[in-house]
Amino acid sequence: MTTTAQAARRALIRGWVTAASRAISPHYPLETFIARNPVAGYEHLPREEALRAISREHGVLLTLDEQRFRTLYTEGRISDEDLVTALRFLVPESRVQRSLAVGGRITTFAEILVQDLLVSPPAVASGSSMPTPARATAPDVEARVDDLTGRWMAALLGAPAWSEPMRRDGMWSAWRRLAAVDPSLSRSVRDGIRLSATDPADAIDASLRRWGLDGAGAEEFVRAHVLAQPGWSAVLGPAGGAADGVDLTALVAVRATLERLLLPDDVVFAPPAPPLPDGDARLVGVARALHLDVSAAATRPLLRRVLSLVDAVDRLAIWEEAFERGVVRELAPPAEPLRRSAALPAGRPLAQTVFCIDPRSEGFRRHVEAAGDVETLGFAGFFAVAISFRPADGSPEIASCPILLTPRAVVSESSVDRDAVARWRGRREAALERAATVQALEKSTVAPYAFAETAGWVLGAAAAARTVAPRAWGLLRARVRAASPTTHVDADVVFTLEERVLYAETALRMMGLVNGFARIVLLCGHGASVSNNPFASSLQCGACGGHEGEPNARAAAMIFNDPATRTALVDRGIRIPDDTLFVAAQHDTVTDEVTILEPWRIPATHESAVWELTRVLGIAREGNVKERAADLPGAGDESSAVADTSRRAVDWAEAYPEWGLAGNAAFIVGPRSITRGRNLRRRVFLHSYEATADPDGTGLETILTAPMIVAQWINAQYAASTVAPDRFGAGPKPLHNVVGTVGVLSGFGGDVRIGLPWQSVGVGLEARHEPVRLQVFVQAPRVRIDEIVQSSEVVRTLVTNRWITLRARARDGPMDAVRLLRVGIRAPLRRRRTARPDRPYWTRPREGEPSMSLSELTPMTKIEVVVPSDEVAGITALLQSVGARGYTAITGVAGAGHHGSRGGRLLFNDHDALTLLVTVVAPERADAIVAGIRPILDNGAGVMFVSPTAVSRPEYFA
Amino acid sequence: MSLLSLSIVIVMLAAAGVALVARTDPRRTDGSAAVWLTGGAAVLAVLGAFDALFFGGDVVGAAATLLVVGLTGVVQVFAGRHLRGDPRARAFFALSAVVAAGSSVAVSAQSVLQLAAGWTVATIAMVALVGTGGRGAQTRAAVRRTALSLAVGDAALWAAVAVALAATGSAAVGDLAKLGDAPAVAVSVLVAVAAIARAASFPLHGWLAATAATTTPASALLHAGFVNAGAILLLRFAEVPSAVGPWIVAVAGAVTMLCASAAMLTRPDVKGRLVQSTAAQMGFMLLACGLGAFGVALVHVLGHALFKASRFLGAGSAVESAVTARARSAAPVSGPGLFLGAGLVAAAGLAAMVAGGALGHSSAVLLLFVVATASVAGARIGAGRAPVALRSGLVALVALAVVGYVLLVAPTSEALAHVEPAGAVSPLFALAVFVCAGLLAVLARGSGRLADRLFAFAFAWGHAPLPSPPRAVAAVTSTPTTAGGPLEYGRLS
Repeated sequence: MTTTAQAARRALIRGWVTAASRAISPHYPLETFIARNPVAGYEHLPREEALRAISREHGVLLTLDEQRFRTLYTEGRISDEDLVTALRFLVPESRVQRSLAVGGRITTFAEILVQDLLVSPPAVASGSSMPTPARATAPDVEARVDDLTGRWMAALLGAPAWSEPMRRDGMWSAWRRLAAVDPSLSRSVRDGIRLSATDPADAIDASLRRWGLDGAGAEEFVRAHVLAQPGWSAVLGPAGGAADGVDLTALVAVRATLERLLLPDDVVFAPPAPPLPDGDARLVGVARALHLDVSAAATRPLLRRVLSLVDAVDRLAIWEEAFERGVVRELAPPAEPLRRSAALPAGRPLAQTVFCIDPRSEGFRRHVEAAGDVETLGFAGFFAVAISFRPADGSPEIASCPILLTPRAVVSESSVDRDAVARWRGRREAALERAATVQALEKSTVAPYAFAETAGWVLGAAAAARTVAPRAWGLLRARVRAASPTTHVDADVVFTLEERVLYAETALRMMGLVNGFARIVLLCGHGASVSNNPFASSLQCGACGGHEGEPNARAAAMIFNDPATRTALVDRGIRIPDDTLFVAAQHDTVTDEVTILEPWRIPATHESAVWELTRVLGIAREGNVKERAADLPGAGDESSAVADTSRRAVDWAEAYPEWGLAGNAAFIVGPRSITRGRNLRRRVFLHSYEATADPDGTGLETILTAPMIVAQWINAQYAASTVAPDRFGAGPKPLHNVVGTVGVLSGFGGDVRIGLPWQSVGVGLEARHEPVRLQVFVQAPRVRIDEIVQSSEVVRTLVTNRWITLRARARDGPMDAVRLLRVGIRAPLRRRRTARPDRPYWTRPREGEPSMSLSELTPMTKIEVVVPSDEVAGITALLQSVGARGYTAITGVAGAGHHGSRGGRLLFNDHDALTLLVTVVAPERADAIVAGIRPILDNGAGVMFVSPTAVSRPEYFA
Repeated sequence: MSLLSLSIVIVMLAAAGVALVARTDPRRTDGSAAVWLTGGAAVLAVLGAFDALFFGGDVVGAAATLLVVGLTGVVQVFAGRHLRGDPRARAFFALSAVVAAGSSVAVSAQSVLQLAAGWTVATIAMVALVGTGGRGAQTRAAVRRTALSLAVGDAALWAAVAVALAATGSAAVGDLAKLGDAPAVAVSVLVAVAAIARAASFPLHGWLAATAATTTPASALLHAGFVNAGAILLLRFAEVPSAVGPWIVAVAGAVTMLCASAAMLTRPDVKGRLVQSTAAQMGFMLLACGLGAFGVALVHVLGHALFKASRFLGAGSAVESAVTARARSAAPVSGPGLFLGAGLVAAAGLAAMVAGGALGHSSAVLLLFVVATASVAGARIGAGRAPVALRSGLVALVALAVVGYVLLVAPTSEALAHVEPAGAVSPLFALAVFVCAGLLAVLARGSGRLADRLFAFAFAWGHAPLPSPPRAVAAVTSTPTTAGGPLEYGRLS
């Protein structure tokens, strides 16, 4: 029986772990690679403060380094004007025009600070300054802890052939049982493991006692261990796999226990002293650059005062801001459309084609428009139908929708051609059987020897063929593969009429396509054909959860072509002409080939138009492929570009199938007319929007709270993988060693790599992706935008803390920045210093007080927690660990408060909502829960209410 | 050394030179021009193989040369597109050509001096090739450990050569049979050590696991060509009149085979699995050599090299295969099918062994592994969900294949690589190993304390320890971002 104090202690430690887990964003398995800001947990901080915190905790700087910025400045990519503007924007004091007489010269604040930017010693990321005892005292012990934990985590999550002994109990018990007989550990360590606590939180506590840590020091210790191998922590996430007994608390416990046992008994751990302030070098350097006399009495204090306005990390924020101003000039929609006449063509166009907002579509759309009389639009590639797709060949269901959403329905593919489907399924089954047999042979202890020597001849010949003649091999594979039968998807059945109309209207209004329909509207999803690439899903459609967009395009076309839906849409003011046909298609981003997905659905009346459209798409393919060949490593001259991309799609040796979303920098919301005719070099997410088609502004709200958020994730992911490839990137592809489907190792052990491989962002030593915070441009009424930014906490946080820049205009003209509070480097610093008031957070029912008029009721404590929906998993895991028998979760709660308001029930975003969790426990357990939840609520949006309550059946509650 | 083998070596060295000096099109990977010369050498190697096969000659040497040069060519073509932008690509092409040249010299040698010289050139170039994985700490550790273990092997080989030269005064392989008692034991033990180091067998097995930290193409070459050379070495020294060496080789091979095959099952990462699989396969090869079954060993070496090359180059498909494996229904459906399939195939194989008179041969015991493999396949097919007719057909096919193997492949390979070893291990030892392997399979399915201990042992065996950072690192304020690019690509040191 555990005491109340012990339970509270455990909950507190678990709470620290959960709070620490926010320092690294969850990592999704490779088959559904989701781009995310790896340090999204720091977005509640203003940019430069987050940079400081990340530098301290992760040991990396999340911007280009200052040397690089200075090079860009010398090369002229950052102008003097941009630098001064950025400085004025971020350091309010520098706006003062007053001249200073110093050291025999007249100068200004701004001039001194600019010189500081140009000559001062750059900020240095010298590894995390949050050491664990092992790192501080014995690096070899740290390597050993990393090694033993890493191999254990890999085996636990990577599902090796023989893993039964590890799975028998939860992670912690299994580790204690097996590590206690590990022959590579010394006897004393094994004994220590055998004697360790049965609860992982207690084991962490044992380490805390060993190092004499408590309070803030203890929380820091837990955090240091969570971030020691950020990959494994990211895989586990706040509550990853809690059901299997695999959780972050157990991981920290394993690390802390090994560390405690491996370090000698006489080691004393003292948390490191804060770094010394840099000496006079900076001051003297700036003075010299300004030709000031340092020996003059007044010079030093004055310079010191001016230079104290910014530190090295602030300078990075200023450089970043200045650099981005140049990028904005390149990418912002021009004040006047380049082709006003072309934007409003006379007559009905041949077709409208809707592409994903993915930056790769930008180039292709440009070429489509150039090739024929075709209008193009941009919309999230899942076309507003969040589905789970069940293919007819019997492969497992896939959730084909943004990670922000849960699928609304299961859409199945089926066919009346039973024989063809049976053949198709049969082939898949045969392939599975073949794979199973090969696996059985390789994994047996007696069979692999003769198998390798016989199968080798076949496999070796195939490997040689694939390598020497990849295109021929690809054609052969395509010929052997069974042609897929004529199938249809049942999207018109699984969704009710009401839902179909809702999806159709939402999509059309969001992209501003409510009238002027062409005869053909092509809904073009996208996917990437690649071979032998563990990161294949990072090249697929992000809006489809790292899958191909094919099922969604088909389902959406089905809904739009449904006569009942169209009739209902008329009542809502959208009349789709009877002769308009929605056609599903898929764009292969490697080869730029567009495939019409259901050619059998095209009636004879539209045949010639579709033929014409395919011709246009063919021309566009050639144009875009040639344009891309200029950047693609190893691409030949333009004439061979089409053949070259076809090879890349099937070539198992190719490290650069395509550039993916590298280069992404901006997100433009507005009609195509404002960007048409401009070459944006595949750097921009283009979302179509027409304010007049969206009278109540819900469409815009959705765009800014869902697609824009996803674009920011992608943008931040690419940036982080570029500037910190060793911490937030997966390293070079040739070194990758895939672990199950969890991730890759670079080598034989250690931490799993998160983020994108170097081949996604750079070539050799040179980065190709230019890290720029997402620049958002919106053309819509200002009032509407301000309202959305004020009301949506997610958007507001990103804007206020300068994780994105939002610029807007109502009509043609320059875009104005939408700025909110908290601009300026020093203001937030001061604000942060105000300590959180230590208020009483809950009250225990007083002794002897008649709690209820009905005396037979048992007094209990009710705890209500309102948190953002993505925090729920962490808290429920905590509740269960403390022994709460159950809880009630109410999702989609709306509210307003300290952190701004949150809207519930958005069609595109399940996570930007709050969840109310209610649990009732015995009063003595409440302490533990409160202790655990408190650290989680720190730095986040969320509230907790604790109140006495009474229940009639106490046995239902813990 | 024939003129043809000499020209192959010269062309490979020229390829290395071209890789280092040729200024290629900036769009092409640095050094990839070497591919053309390697292709030329492969053509010469094909001619050499035909020559040896039809006009009499050293079939073993010619076949091994063809394997090495051909695989190097394929892997270089692969690397041309896989190592785009890699700052060490040029080094990769040059070093891989040198490894191939050295290996060709070693396998076609009829003199122990030439063999040792080629062997050591290949060793040095391979250690450097592992280093093309870059500046990462794990890669550096792999280079250190590989260099250390292989240095032991190479030193042993040179010592063996020295003893042989001192004792007989001749460097010719054919004169090894004339060694006296004491020198024979010495040579045989030293050669065994060299073969064990190369094949990454116990107790010099640690380095191979670390080499997972190099690039995929370098690993492919290492696992497909380099580690297999032990078989050729033992073949060349087979006439040394001592059974001590074969016993050492067989015991080391057997231990490695058992431990590595269990360790492989505990590895979750694709390259880690392949490494342990190679270690086990090399153990099998050493066991076969110890038995004097050089034909079986050579067929195994060739087949396994191709197998492992294709597996390594396809390592990126591991996610797909893991997803496929998950999609498959876990348990076999048909119990009777399982036993029928396994039983039929096993019966056919054993019958063929008896009928073919294989039982009289010392290497017959190795055929048990072949029959076991076929039975596992038969069991898996028999248990499947396909229609009965199809399953019966497939099982019959497997049975036919195993009969064919026993009656045709085994005797032919023995005839082609015919050597009368002066000393060999008793077949009973191999039989014991076979039984142990079977037992291991049973134990791995069990649970309880014994299974736990076995698991922990296999788990520890299969993992190379991470290198510890030098103490100074914490004090140095390095700026990882100023160099640009990932740490692995950091400046060539």
